[in-house]
Amino acid sequence: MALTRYAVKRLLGILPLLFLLSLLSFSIIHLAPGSPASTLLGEKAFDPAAVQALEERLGLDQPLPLQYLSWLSRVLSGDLGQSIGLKPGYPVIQLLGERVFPTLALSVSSLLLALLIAVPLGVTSALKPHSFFDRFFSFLAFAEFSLPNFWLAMMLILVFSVSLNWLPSSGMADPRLASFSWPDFFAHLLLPMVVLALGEAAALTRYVRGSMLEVLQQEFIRTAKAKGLPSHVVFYKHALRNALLPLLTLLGYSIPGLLSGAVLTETVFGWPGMGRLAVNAVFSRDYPVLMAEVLLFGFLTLIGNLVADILYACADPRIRYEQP
Amino acid sequence: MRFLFALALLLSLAGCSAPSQGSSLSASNALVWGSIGDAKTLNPLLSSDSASSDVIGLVFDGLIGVNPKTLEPYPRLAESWNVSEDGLTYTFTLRPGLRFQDGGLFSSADVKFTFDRLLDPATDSPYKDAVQYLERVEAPDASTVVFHLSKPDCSFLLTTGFGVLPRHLLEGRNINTAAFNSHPVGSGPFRFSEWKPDELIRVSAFDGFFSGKPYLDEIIYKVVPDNLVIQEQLITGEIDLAGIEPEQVPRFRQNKNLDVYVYSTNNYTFMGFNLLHPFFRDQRVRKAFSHAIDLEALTESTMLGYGETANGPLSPVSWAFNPDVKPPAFNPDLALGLLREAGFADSDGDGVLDKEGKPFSFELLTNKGNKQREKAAVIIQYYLKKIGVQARVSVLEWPTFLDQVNRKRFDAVILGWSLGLDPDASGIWHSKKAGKYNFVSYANPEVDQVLDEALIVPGCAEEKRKPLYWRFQELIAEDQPYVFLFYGSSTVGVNKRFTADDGILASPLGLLWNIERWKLKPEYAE
Repeated sequence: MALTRYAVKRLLGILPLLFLLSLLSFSIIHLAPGSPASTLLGEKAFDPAAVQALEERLGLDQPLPLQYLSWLSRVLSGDLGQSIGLKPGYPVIQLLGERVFPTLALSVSSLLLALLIAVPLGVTSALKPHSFFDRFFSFLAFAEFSLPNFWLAMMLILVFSVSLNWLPSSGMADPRLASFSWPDFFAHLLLPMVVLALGEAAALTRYVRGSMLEVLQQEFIRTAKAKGLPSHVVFYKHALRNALLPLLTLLGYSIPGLLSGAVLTETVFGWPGMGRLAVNAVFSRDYPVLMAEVLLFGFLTLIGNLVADILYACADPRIRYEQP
Repeated sequence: MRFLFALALLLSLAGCSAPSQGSSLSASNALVWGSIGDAKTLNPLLSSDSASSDVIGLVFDGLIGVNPKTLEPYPRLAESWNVSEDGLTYTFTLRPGLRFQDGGLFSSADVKFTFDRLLDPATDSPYKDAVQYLERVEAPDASTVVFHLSKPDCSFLLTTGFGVLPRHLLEGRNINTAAFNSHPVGSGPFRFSEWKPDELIRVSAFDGFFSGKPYLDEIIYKVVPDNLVIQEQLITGEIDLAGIEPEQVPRFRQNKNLDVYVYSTNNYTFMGFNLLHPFFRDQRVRKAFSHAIDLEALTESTMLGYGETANGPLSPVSWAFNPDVKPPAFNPDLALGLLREAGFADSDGDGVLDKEGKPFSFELLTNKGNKQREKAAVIIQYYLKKIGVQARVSVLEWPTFLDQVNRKRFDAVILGWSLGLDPDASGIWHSKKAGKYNFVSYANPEVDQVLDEALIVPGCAEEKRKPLYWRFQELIAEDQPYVFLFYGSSTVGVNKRFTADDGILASPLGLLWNIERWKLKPEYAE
């Protein structure tokens, strides 16, 4: 049960890391110039007395260590506080909660689509390296990799929404519809999903191709071939399984990305995701919202790393996590 | 397993790529209003951003309204009002039988409650200055409201147009954080129905509205965070109404599904000097700048023909505007002469003027996100370079920008003011009213006096206040604490399906001042 002990140990290690992360982020966020008053008070924010009064009411005039301690004690008791800039008075937990479904819907579907594109393309490219097929898709992957997402998004909108009028260009649902409908939701999801998926697929294809090529060089493949196994069994059973192992790790690392959202894509397509929330929170100096997001992403990153390590150990018997 | 799910997802996608035709529409005469930002709060006392104010304008109504043509106040939820001779008491009589959208009775107690909250120091309202002379509010009976002022204030009347809050839903709550602020109840033409954050806010016709149920069933305030996408959605019909960029106006005018409205707005853009700066303290330097910049060319290239060169601190929209004050003429030689007079010369031959060994180089600050200001900054930099002055343009995001300005850590800024309908501009120019918006530290005793006098004119008659404001504009033109750049305008695209009783009328109040009387043209109505 070395693995369980390893996992527990790592989980306990997350706590001090999260604490350090929160301390550091809290300091940096509060040291940035400006205050939430700048967006709350409108033109009145030019009146230093009004700004000061608001900051006093929000407790922002207190020494920073005190502010941190009171924030920490609230968080430890399970209260993430209320928004002070984006939607004053609104519970932070609710603000984050509203974004979970849209963010996950977009990130999970685009990751799946990316895998659906990347695995077959990567494998096929690796089977005949330097062939026309391989070169063509390598070129496409690099081309897509260097395209900015917002540009691609705009082009897709111009073609599929404006010219052809097939797909809606923004939002999650047609506001004129009386009730939620899945076909309408998927129509809205399609363009942003494709934009994100293409970007991820470009990188993943290269990854799968490399990993597959590496496996094909190994001796057990030669053995399998020598045994006289049909080539499709060699490729798709022996080689592919081994080549996809490192992908598991990659999936572990992508867990935080699933919830952090994609700011630019969300902005162009008006998708109400986590990324836009984070950016808007920065611009309105909404400290409680920002800190909650930092904690969430920090936690997911650490968990994601742990999951990746554990998955790897499960999948690859050569890796053992033992007590020193 | 996972791949199977993905496959299923993909297949289901393939089957539904056409957008939702044939599904039931909730309201065929809904208007979709596009906005780049989401609202922050739907409480009229607290809102300061335009998205919040847009929606609040649909849900709430006030005692008085403003006539779109004359810009004079007229009764709305109040039936009538009168002002005591000493200008200290304003008495309003409410219309009978008014109700809030939740069915609650609307009475003078609600009006008193609203203004009491505005006066309460614990309320984080950006509108406190509007009630600085309001002492107390009384509700002697259900249909009478009396405002008592500590000092006559001719700008007070327009303040009473404030959206009225329902006391029965807010009494005893913390107004800054009440849940009410995200699902409000007012007495305006449209009832709040839902808010999907960063997506849309939906309001629907209120049948108890004082002048009758609005014709449109629904207004959907749709958040589309990218400006280019907003413009394209106007074309695809996904949005019915939205502001458009001046450079897009010709393209939209050619579109047969859209009407384009252009109207002057009550605001101006300026370059403000930090008057504590040793160079800018000298009036000759400020005058030199105003002559060094070709203001007409600047207006043309930033506003593309939809703006007007500014001449001072009031806009032509206002009755108090003084057309005799002309914008400074473009004359670089005159500018250079004035700078020489002020002691500047290029003594080291590096192409930059200097004085007492200090080169004339300063930081020109503006805020990120306003294209016109960023353009204006670069144009100003160009013209100043020609007379040997070096402007270093710096564009900061808003909170940082404000922080610099409030700490007086700036040389000059480019910014704009939106003006109230009353010409009183004490907040910006008065030296004594403890640092409100006078961040440039302007102080002229005569300006203070004129502004004070104009606020306490007995009877507040326009013809008596006007000469004082004309004098005020002359004094500002003489001092040049700002280089006034241009008056703004709005360009809005509206789907051709819509019209209003007597047609859609653009006014400095905007397009939607009579939104309750908007409707579909007969050929589009079902």
